[in-house]
Amino acid sequence: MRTDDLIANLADGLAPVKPLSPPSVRFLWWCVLAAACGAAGVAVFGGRPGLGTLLRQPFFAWLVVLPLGMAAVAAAAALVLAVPGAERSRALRSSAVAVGGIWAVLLLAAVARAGNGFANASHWPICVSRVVAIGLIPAVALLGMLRRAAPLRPAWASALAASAAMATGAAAIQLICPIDDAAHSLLGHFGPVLLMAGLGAWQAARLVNQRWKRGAGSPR
Amino acid sequence: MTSQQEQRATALMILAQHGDSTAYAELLTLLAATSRQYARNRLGDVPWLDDVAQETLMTVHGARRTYDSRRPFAPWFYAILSSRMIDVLRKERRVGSREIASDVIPEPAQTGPAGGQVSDADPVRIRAALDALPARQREIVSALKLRDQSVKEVSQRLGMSESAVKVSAHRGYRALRRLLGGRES
Repeated sequence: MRTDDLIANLADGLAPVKPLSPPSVRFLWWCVLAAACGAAGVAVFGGRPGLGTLLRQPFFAWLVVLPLGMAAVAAAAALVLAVPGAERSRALRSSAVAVGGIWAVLLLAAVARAGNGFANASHWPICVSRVVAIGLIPAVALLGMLRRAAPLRPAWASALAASAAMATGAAAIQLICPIDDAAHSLLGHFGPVLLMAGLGAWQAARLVNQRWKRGAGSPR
Repeated sequence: MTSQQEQRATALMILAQHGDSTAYAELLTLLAATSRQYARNRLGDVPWLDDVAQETLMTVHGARRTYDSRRPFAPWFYAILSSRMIDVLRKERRVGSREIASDVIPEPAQTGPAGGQVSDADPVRIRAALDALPARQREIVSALKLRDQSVKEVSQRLGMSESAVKVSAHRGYRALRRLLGGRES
């Protein structure tokens, strides 16, 4: 097909489009939804007793703050990546990875300090399923936002979206789960974030529709 | 893209988002020329500059809702252009590693009437018959039979489903048979 024919073809069937709201606006909407899902998760599964006291303990507070931070930074990075040219630097993406890394290092150090390895880790599959359950709606919402946009790096965008949603679930599960064992937290709370990020990157082509790349909506 | 061109492109894109097809055609013409120039500056005078331009235009079309008129146009457009140029470059390298480019249409198989193929067709007749097909059908048949692309590749490039490509190709073959004097089915 000649370029002139393609231009005529694309222009002929042109339909008006409503421009997407800026990433910052969509990010705020997602934060509201994610917070609501996290709160609903805590309400459904029940918060652990003595939360007020626990939140004053630095280690416990970090295990809530780090997943929350990761969820926010990763979601923002995914939404920025979904708009061509909006990502001025890799700082946001790197920050999401860095926050996740600090969270993992904190847990690994605690596992090493405990000295039992993963031998005593128990009940973690229950927490994995709860993290996924709480993060499911934020994941669908965020991937839906990405599908409506045009991520030029789909693997990154998809992995960040999946990890942001699961980190929401991980922050909520920290307020639910009564087990303080670091190995349990690493497997049951951090594990699903890492797992879903990998799955997101692997299945990016399915999760983040790329029809826009091929001129979706162009006349046939 | 000069700052004047960028201002013009911004104005045209805003009109295009409202459905103005004349402004959109002007915008795409400007972007096609810019894409070719950008690719030529980086890759030299390669034969697939038009592929870069076309892929970029299709992506601009699919992603036009993501353009925010409060932000500069050039970063949005060049992000798409460089991404698509890399995609085309990768594809060309992949194809180039296993194929030898040739402008000559291979000789048709000389099978007898029982073989069901047109035995006396020459490249000129085939080319004339191809030119008589509708543009979309011609593109699909050429891609599948002359450029040896897969149905999947063609469907992705043209933004059609694989089954739609197969149906269109089948109709094209039937039309070619008819034009070349063979039986229609």
